[in-house]
Amino acid sequence: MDLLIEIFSERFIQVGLAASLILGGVCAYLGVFLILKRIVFVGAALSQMAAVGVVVGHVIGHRIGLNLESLAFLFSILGVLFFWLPVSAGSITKESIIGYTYIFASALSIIIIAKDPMAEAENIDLFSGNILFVSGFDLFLISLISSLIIIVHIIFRKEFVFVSFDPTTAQTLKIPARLYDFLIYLTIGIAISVGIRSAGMLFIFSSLIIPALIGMSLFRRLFWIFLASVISIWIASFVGIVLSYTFDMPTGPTISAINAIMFLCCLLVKRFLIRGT
Amino acid sequence: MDKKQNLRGMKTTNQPIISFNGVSLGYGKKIVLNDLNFDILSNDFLGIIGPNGAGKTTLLKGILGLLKPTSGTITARDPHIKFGYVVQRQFVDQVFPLTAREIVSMGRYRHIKLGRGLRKGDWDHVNHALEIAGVSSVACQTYRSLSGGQKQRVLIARALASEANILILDEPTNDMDIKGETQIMELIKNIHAKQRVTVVIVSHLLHNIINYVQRLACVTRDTFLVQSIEEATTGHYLSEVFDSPIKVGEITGKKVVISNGSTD
Repeated sequence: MDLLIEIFSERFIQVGLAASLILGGVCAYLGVFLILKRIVFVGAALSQMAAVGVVVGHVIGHRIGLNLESLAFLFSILGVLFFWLPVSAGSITKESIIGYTYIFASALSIIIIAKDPMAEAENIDLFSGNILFVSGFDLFLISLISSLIIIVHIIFRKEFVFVSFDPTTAQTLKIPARLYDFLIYLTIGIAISVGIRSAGMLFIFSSLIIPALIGMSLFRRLFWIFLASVISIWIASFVGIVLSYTFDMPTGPTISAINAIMFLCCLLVKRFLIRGT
Repeated sequence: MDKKQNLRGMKTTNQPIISFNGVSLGYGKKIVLNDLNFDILSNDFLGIIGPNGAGKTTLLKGILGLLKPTSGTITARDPHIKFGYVVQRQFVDQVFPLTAREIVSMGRYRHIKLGRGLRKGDWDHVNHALEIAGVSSVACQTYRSLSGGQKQRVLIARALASEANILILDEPTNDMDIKGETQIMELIKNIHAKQRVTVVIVSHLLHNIINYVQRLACVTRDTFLVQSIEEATTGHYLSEVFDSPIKVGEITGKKVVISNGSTD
């Protein structure tokens, strides 16, 4: 207990925990849509697009008067538009195009980092991030944008679920399915672009995927899946930050690993305890 | 209420409610259906049949307004038209974590403002639709846990909950056993008779709908013709439509379709 009090009395830990709870919670909620819409790879590709924005920001951002967040946002939105539009090229599937984008964006960010000494020094942060170094302003920004995303999802919750489940019927009921679909993509893209620099690609992508898997492995009702997803990333964030502080481990990867272990535990519990009874 | 209007606000006499005048439908430059001229009537029970790839789903999209005509006009002649679309079961996500009741409640969404939930009146419509479709007892079960027939009933209930006066069903008996097929067709027949809604049903299972529909629209790559069921169910005509020898007979008052010497 003393150790916990010691850890969480540190200002930077408090800010880091708040950032991981807010970002992780929002990503965990949005991740349920990613899994249900079967567009997991879109999350990975958008994260990589946002990462390109960050490294481009490192190299030329100051010359064109744009900061890292703006460029991460810009690249994410480009990705959102690209994935949302019904792009196809003959027999090439949309999944292939998403995979292609992921590879291209990854290659681009590595090349840019390699050619820029300043960016190269921060390379590891781009992937694993360092959520404990989040500034007060970053936390404010994360809170503000996360609140907007949550408000949008509260207002359009039932419509978002409908168009994710059955877009054709939604259209016949005069519900603008394409527009709502775009809004889902957009909120995912914004959440990624906001979190990518402070929390790192690994934390963001794992927060989009693993909590939703935990929720879906435990529950069959949508409300409980959303709730379990968010709670699971909160637990992982709390435990991850404590372990990271205590054993001097990178915070983002520790939270992701804890969350991944939680998913395995859920599967085992379900397999051996729930089905066994 | 006007005596010529039913409970859902539509004219009950067999008057045209949707008219196709010289309509061509297609995707981009590819025309799938050309020069369609026909009416959907109030209280109609119209079957749409045709071989695979002939354009049945394209026609459905045209009726629903999801596909704009490349030429000609589709005119809604009744201001009260509300479509209730019953999508092909296979096109709906089978594992989406929703209960039957939650899915049926989606039919009410067009009546509810953004950010609002269903009110008591809406839930009454949902419960009534579940009852009509015979799935009240499984309302709280998840969609994935239901049988194929129950899933189809839930999708029909959703269309009913929307207070639709035109039910548009796309292959509602696909992948069902013969008992399931009959039960679903009987349900649709009852809905048509008791709820007095117009029904448009697309099926490639000829034997399935000829004993239920009043009129038959036959879609082929070259022709489109709407006829009464008596006119349409001659073996010679259906043989032409399906480009295969077809005979229509009767057993205990029910029409049976025999294709190429074997029962279809």
